[in-house]
Amino acid sequence: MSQQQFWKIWERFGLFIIILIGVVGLSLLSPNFATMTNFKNFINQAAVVAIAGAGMTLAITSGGFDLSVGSVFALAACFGARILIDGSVAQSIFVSLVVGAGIGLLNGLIITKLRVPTFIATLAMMTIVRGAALIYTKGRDINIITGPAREAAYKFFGGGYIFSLPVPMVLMISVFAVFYVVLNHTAFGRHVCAVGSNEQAAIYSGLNVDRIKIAVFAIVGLTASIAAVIQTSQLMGVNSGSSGLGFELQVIAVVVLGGTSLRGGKAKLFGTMAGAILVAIANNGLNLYNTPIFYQYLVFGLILLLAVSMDGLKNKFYTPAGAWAQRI
Amino acid sequence: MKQILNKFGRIWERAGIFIMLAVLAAVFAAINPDFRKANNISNILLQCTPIGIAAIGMTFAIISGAFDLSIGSTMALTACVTVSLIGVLGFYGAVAAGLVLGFLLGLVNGLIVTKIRISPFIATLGTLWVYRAFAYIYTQNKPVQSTDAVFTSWGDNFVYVPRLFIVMLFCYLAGFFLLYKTPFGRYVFAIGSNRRAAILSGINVARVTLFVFALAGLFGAMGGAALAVRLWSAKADTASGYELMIIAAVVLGGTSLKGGSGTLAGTFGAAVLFAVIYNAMDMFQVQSYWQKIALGGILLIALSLDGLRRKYMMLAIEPVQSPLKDKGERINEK
Amino acid sequence: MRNKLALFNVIFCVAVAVCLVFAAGCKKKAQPGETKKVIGFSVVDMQPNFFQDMERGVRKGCEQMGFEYKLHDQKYDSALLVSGCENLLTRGISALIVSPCEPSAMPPVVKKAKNMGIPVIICDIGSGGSEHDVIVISDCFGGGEIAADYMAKQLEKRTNNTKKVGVLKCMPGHIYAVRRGEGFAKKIQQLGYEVVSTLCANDVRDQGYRVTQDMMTAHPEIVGIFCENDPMALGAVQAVRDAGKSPIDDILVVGFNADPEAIEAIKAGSLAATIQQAPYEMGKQCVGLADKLLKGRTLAYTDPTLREITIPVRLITRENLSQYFPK
Repeated sequence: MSQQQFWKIWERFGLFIIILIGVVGLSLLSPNFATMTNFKNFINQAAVVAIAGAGMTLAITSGGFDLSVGSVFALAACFGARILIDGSVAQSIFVSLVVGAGIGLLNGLIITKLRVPTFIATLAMMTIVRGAALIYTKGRDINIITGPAREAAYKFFGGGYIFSLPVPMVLMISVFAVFYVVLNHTAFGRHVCAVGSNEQAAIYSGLNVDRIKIAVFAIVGLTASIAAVIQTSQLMGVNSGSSGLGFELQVIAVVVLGGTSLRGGKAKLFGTMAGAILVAIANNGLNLYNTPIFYQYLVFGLILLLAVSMDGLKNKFYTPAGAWAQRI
Repeated sequence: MKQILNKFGRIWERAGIFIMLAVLAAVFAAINPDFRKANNISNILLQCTPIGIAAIGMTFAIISGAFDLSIGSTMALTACVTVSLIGVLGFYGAVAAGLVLGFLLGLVNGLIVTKIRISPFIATLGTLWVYRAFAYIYTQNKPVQSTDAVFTSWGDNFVYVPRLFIVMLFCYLAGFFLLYKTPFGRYVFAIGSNRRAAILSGINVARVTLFVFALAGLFGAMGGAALAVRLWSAKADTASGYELMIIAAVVLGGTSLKGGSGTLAGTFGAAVLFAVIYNAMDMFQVQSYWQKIALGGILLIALSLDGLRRKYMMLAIEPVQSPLKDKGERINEK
Repeated sequence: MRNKLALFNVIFCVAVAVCLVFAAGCKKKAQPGETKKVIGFSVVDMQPNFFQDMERGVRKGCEQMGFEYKLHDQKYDSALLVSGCENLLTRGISALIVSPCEPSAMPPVVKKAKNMGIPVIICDIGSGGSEHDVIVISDCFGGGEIAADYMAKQLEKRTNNTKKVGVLKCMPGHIYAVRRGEGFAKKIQQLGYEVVSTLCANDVRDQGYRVTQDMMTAHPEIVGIFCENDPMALGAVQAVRDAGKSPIDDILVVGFNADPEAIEAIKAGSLAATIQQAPYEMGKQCVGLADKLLKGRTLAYTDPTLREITIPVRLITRENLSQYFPK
């Protein structure tokens, strides 16, 4: 196989190849890996990060990113948990989603109308929303203790099965399907890519860039709150202070692993999903092997570097036909 | 009216952060006599040193269009190594070793970015975890302490001014010199504002980028040493989450995240401003959870003032109708 | 155009207003001429229940003993620990109570306090080798041992006791938690059990949930799990239940902290036991000690060489719950 062919295959399937190697390797090494229960465990974990990752992919494609997803996650979870104690499942989920989308909307407004740089705006919102969550719960955990029917209904989202597939996995696939359609077959999706690849050109072309950005950030908040609902239903409780801490870096890492360029304009949606699954499998494998936590940090960093360096080297050695040669 | 606004805009552009600093400090001093005490002022100067020094390297990085997310982990790792070597090499030897380590860690970052062509954000996100893991493995998760007299004496004051603050001033002077008085500094600006133009102008972008990252690591190590002096110890989880704070300080100071423009003086002002704010929040006994909201709010207000200033000052200066009044504005703005 | 400039001015005024919000958000300002002594308290982090209880204890103690009270939150950052204590020291406090997130950073703080003649009382966690006046510390290691004894006793009653257990650890940097796990592991091994899996769940419930799932996958024969704090234990309980097993009869889950949520769970029969550290009482006791030190009285140490006062920890189970938590 020539070098060109190798890189071509890698570009399309690289991440899936790594996942395949990981799955095969772990199945051989550990008898307990290839069981339905274990599969459900790591796919449910991957789903939480992946769904938020879909939103983040959209944000990065539009040229921005959102550091506040962790705190939005926490706030949506807190509201949802508190309401579920007395209200219905539908009310709880609705409020969580509204909170998530609302804060995303606020992010978008701050960035477009007040012209605050994205990094600072979302960083500031990260601390503000975290403070809000702590004040709302007065710093205490929320244990969801509610009627058995409601509990069973809510738990469905985090642990139930549809057609013998775990619900979070089905939700993940549906969310990604929706995003795929939006990105590739709607005008909005095309506009998002346009804004991400060249904002000036988008403005000149007559696009309402501000409105597009606001919509994107609202969507990011929405996906974060969907992820929050899934995790809260798994845990039947939430800890306002520590829920979602560090989540934003995880999500961004997963999107980057998936191959979406931080420069914007191109989205590799299923790469994000693959990235989330890869990270979940890696965590799972490391836990099955009782690896001390510091080595887990090391592995996480190395996976990120290795996966992305393959991408970088690909750019060095192989330029897709027609692209303007980028030699630096 | 337009001229006044123009002038104000120009002054703000240059010294906005110092104006904010002066205003806040004045308000706090007026409200609470505790703030005015000499002890308190020297505390503030002392408290801004670790982040202030590390932010110098980060300023260089951001001006050149890059990022160094691994700076917190670098600070921790070099601090641990430094403190552990004090017994062996003496204080100054240990600090030198730490600086060399920081330089090398930064160099590794630079190599990953230039040779393997990974974007700085991702590369340093990866090394963030890797260096932190090294810190844990090196210290076996135990703190390293030292009661060496020279070491601890650096935390003291020199005629009311903290020694560490004087060190910070020297570091900033060095940074000023590098950034504004050397060709290297000019190249950093060039790369940040337009990379292709820099390449085509003959600048060895790879080498400059490499050195920028190494510099970030070096100043990070210096900041880590300052941190160790403050704590008389170091641990693997020291300086967690500092990278975001340092970047916030640099941006607050007036450096644009897009690269190509920036000010070291602004970074200095922002570092001091953060210390002032933390100090004041403690002094006013602001409740812990509200502190988070206050911090975020201040960042937002400061930068929205800046953003709006840029947006509307341009309107004041250029009344000419162009298809593009300001970046991101449509022609038919209501 | 005018409207937009007005907006600009409004925002500037808002900025100044924020400064005034600080003034509004503060608690009591020290009035000149007030003779109440002030106690400064620096706490690890106001987010976990444990330290919230400790803070409440200190506050109550100050109210009862007639002290004024200033609080500082370290937010788990050792640099903030040092700067916060420095700030407190320059604010006219008479005594300093610290619960340090990083004991090894205490020496510079204690040195500064000594130079100013301010006594330092350390509340739990550790002293880092500093020259504190007194440290009130609960026996976390012993607590782990108590948990091990309890678990062994409960497991002895079972027929299918595989003698394999797992441990959920807190973040590697959290020293007090590390001691808990060490105490447990040592004692349980002495009692003839094997710790087959030790995983870190980062102090939080969601990691406790996931890590327990992995632990059960890797070692289906586990009969007991010890968690270094209650949030992780609650996550573990949920994971065990989701796997269709009972957290009391199949896999015995024991926590540590006696958080309100854990007490609820014990009442409801999902958590087997937890170890109580009494942070509220410790906080109050520290204020009492501060009072004694300020009056120049000598203290009764449990260990005079280390200037330690050890507080015993307590096992809380379904059986003795009503004794200690009458509500």
